[in-house]
Amino acid sequence: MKILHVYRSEPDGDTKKLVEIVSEGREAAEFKLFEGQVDYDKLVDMVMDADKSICWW
Amino acid sequence: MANSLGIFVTNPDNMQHIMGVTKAAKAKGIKVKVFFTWSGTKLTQDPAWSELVKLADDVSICADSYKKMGFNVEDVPEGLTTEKMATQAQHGDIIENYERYMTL
Repeated sequence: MKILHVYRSEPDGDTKKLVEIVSEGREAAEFKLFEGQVDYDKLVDMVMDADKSICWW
Repeated sequence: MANSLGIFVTNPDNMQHIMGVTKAAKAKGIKVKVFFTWSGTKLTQDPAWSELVKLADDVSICADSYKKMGFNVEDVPEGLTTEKMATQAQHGDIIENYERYMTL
């Protein structure tokens, strides 16, 4: 299963730990919405390619 | 539903992301439904709102949240009908029927 983590803000230690737990045994990718110019085309491709997306606060 | 994306919006600060994702998805031929709840309903007042309702395939809001944010439910936002002033069942529709799901 492919899982995509979308970060709406810089992840803190708790978020990183949760990401680590839910990603265990899975292929994981990440996308940062809070950093620089957002490539929405790439984001949509990644969302459609993943089996599950989690949008972190 | 194949090739579809549902976007669940709770945050009033993410209109640029909602527009960016919706535009990119529509350019790829993906069906897009956007549902606004809680303080996300404040985005009905955003200057980009009218463009969004034209661009997305389906836009609806939680009427109860809209009221709790201080709006009059009789004031239907531009581009919506009273049927789109709805309940969390619209969120359920995204979860049940759309291929992909995001929260913003």
